[in-house]
Amino acid sequence: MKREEFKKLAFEKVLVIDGAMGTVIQSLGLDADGAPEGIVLENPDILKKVHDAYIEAGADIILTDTFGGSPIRLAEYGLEGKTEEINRRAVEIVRSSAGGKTLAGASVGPSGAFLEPIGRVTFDEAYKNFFLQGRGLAAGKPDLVIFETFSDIREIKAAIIGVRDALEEAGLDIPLIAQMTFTEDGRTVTGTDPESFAVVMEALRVDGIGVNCSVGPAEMLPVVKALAGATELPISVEPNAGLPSLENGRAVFKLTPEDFKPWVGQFLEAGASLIGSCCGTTPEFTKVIAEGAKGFRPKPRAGHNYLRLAGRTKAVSFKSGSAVRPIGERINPAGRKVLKAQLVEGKMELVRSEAAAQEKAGAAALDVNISAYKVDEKELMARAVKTVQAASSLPILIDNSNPAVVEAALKEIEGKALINSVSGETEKMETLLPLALRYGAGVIGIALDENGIPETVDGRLAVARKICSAAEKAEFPLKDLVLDALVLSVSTGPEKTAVTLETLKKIKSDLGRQTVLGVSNVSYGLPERPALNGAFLTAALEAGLDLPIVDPLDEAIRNSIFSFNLLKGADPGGKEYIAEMTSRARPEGVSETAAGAMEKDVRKNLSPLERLKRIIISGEKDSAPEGVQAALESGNEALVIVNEALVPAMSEVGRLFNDKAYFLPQVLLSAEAMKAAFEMLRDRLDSDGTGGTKGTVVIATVKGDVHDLGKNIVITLLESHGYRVIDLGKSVPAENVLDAAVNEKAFCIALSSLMTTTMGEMKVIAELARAKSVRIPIIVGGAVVTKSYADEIGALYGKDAIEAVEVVGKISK
Amino acid sequence: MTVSVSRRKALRRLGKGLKSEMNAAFVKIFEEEYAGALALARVDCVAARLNIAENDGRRICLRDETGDERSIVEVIIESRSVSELLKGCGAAYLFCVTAGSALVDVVNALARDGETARALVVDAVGSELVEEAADEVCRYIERTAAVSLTKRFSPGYGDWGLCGQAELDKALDISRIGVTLNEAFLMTPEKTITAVAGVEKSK
Repeated sequence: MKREEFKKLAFEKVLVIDGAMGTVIQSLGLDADGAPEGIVLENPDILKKVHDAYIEAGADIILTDTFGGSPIRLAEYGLEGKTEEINRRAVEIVRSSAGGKTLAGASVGPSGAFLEPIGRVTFDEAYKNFFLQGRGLAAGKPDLVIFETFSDIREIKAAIIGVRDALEEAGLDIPLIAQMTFTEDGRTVTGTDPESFAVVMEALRVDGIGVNCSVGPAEMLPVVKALAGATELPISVEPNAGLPSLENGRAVFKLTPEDFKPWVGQFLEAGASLIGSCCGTTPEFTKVIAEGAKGFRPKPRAGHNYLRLAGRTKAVSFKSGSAVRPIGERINPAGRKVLKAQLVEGKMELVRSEAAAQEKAGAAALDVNISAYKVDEKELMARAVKTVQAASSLPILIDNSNPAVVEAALKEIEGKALINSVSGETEKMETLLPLALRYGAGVIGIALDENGIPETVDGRLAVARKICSAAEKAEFPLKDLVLDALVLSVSTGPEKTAVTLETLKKIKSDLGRQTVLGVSNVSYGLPERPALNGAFLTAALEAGLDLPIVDPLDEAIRNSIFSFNLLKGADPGGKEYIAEMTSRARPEGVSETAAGAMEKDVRKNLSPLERLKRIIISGEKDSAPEGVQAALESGNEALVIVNEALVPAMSEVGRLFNDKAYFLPQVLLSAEAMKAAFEMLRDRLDSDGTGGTKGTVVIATVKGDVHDLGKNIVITLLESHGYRVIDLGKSVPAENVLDAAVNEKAFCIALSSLMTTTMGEMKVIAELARAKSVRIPIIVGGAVVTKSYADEIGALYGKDAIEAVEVVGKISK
Repeated sequence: MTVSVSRRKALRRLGKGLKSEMNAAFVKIFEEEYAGALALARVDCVAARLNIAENDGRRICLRDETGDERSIVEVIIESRSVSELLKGCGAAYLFCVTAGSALVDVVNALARDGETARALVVDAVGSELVEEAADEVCRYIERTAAVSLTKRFSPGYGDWGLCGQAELDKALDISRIGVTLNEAFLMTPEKTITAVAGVEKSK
């Protein structure tokens, strides 16, 4: 079946896809332990029986037993050498059942291995895996291919490209239907939402998209609705027989064909035009679907005639007339010395932080440019793309026009990227447009060619027209082509800026295409660049700029965008404008709540000592010094402040903790506040030369152990109780602990260990102390340490930080 | 991999009980550090599927028999608990998942600066996050490989010593995601989990 025929057919009638293969095979008594695809060679008759049963029930499309038919998957059963034979035979079996009356579909499922970074499989390896399966399928000449149950958008991209290449090699131009599996929360396990999936698949020019497996019809309906809003392509749906429940280790599906019936109409109304079923279903379900779908004519839906891009988890639309969103320009070494130095060294720290910062600042997509002197751009671009994708959810603009670099980036892209840019040079158009088509990317066409940058509006329009023609010739969708009118620095002459703005207008009016500009170029070589950038951006937006590539953190740029959106009615009620401007006016911090205001009122009437006590109990570290100062100024001695405010406050905190009203972080906050207060009083209390403390404790995490948060919590609490604490850090050898304890005249040694493999070191320290006649009490604690272990090594024990402080208190007395 | 942690889970790990009352100072630092920790987390994972060559009730031998020359490897697990868990399984997935070093660096920096309450919050979010990530890896495997997995089990639990980390490392090469093991078999960054889960049957 040709792609064009399918496109027509899918909106003439509902196509019924068959149901589960494994469930039916098991019901026919075949052992389910071997390779499901092995049956193709070992028992083709039973497969034919299954196909026949589904045709009998009313299926229009029956699918091969090749869900796990890719070599990586078959290798689990030692069958990878038979990839070609299994896939070819499976199609032949389906064809013999179909008899030319039913569509013989080929099923392709995930490889079961993981693509980088989770697994070791690279995009190229995944591509090869599916290409080999596709070659086998192509040999059997199926009518269409359905990709089922994919969770990783990058893997399904590799699968589509691989299988398509194999089909083209065999001269087949058949429809490809891409299905992913969505969880109950409406996203795939790797976070892809229906709209992003639709955007990526449309760009890959599949012929239908859909959803199957994992959940039942109730959970799948919202996904189908979301897909219908996101694409004009035919939508397929194959639910399980409800959500599976695990009984005796086996998945059990409880929905019956009768339960399934009412969902058929709902799926059709929601926009589905291909309906089948997945795990736990039988030909009885197919019968119910065929009956429910009889006579229904799927309604065509309107498409999206504007650029859409996507990251793995987020799609972004650039619809002219909607609110303008900036594209972040900051990942670009031009004029940025530190970034350039990092890129030359292969470091990605700034790339990562710039990606996150620009997303936070409201960027809609991120331009990634790694052109630095003497670097392997191919390798560096691939790494930069991976880094940006890990740090942000935004779509990417691949800012490079070297085809090898662009392709390396496209293989890493998890969504739909925009290639920035393709000039009107014949060679660039002939190499980059096919790459964009192959990997499903959009393209920026830039108004320059072999003859350089045209000086006139007409000259630039002529190049833009040339790029549009080349795109049409390559069957590249024009909605995915945006045109760059090209900005030169105003220092080269303001008439050149006027040419840019006029070209923008003409691209919109004469060519009907969307526009993009690297706005900041206008101020190149001039001082106070933000002011000029902001003013030019406003003029360009007015002239019809859709995608401004700018610094989204710059205030002048933000002023321009927020104001423009408000003035053009793209910010209803001025909500975004007001939020932006008021957030700048308000100092950072927490807004004052009613409860907070009331507490302030109450405190006003308290004595300074009572006020300080409340500050400590509430854990307000920043207010503690002020509270101590007020207490001192009202004539209280330091010792009075300690005894009448600080100590009672910590006792109250202890009571709140014992009553379970406070939990550990709140105790720590109070301890931090107490410590801050105590620090202010230390000099006044230092009458005995101990620094005003109750004595010294030496503390360490034992040798080999790298965990020290628990130890640090104990330190905070000890210090808040007035002890001087010498922290030796983590993984400290026994000798160092004892030397420090002796030198610092400690009255107690505190040791922490989190793991069984390291707590033996506590015994080493205790024995060494005895051997060296160091008679300082040792207290031990940590997740795996027990009272009996402490007893065994002759140490004291604190089950948690709070008990540890109590034990230290007893020793100090 | 995108993983999130609910406030409820993070608070529970911090010890918040039914009777706990959260004061304003805590809510402020919690909200700041909770959001910050989620933004800092960089979840990375490596996984491998190995066939179970032997399981005699005390010792399991897992082997990569796919013939992939990059990963010909044998992993030995000496543990009755794991042996029991993998009883009847023909294969198992090993994996290592980390929430990344940035999060742990922040915990250490905060603790060093005496901000232990904040450190504790980031630490708790990190701990929950890596647990959630490990569950997510299992779900991901179940869907993409169309298998049902047993519960996951990690070295250091039951009778499986921490030295098991080194065995898992043989198959996973955890350094690829920036995880290292020290002489006491502790992993850095701290918020990292290695585990094994058996394949129950093909779907």
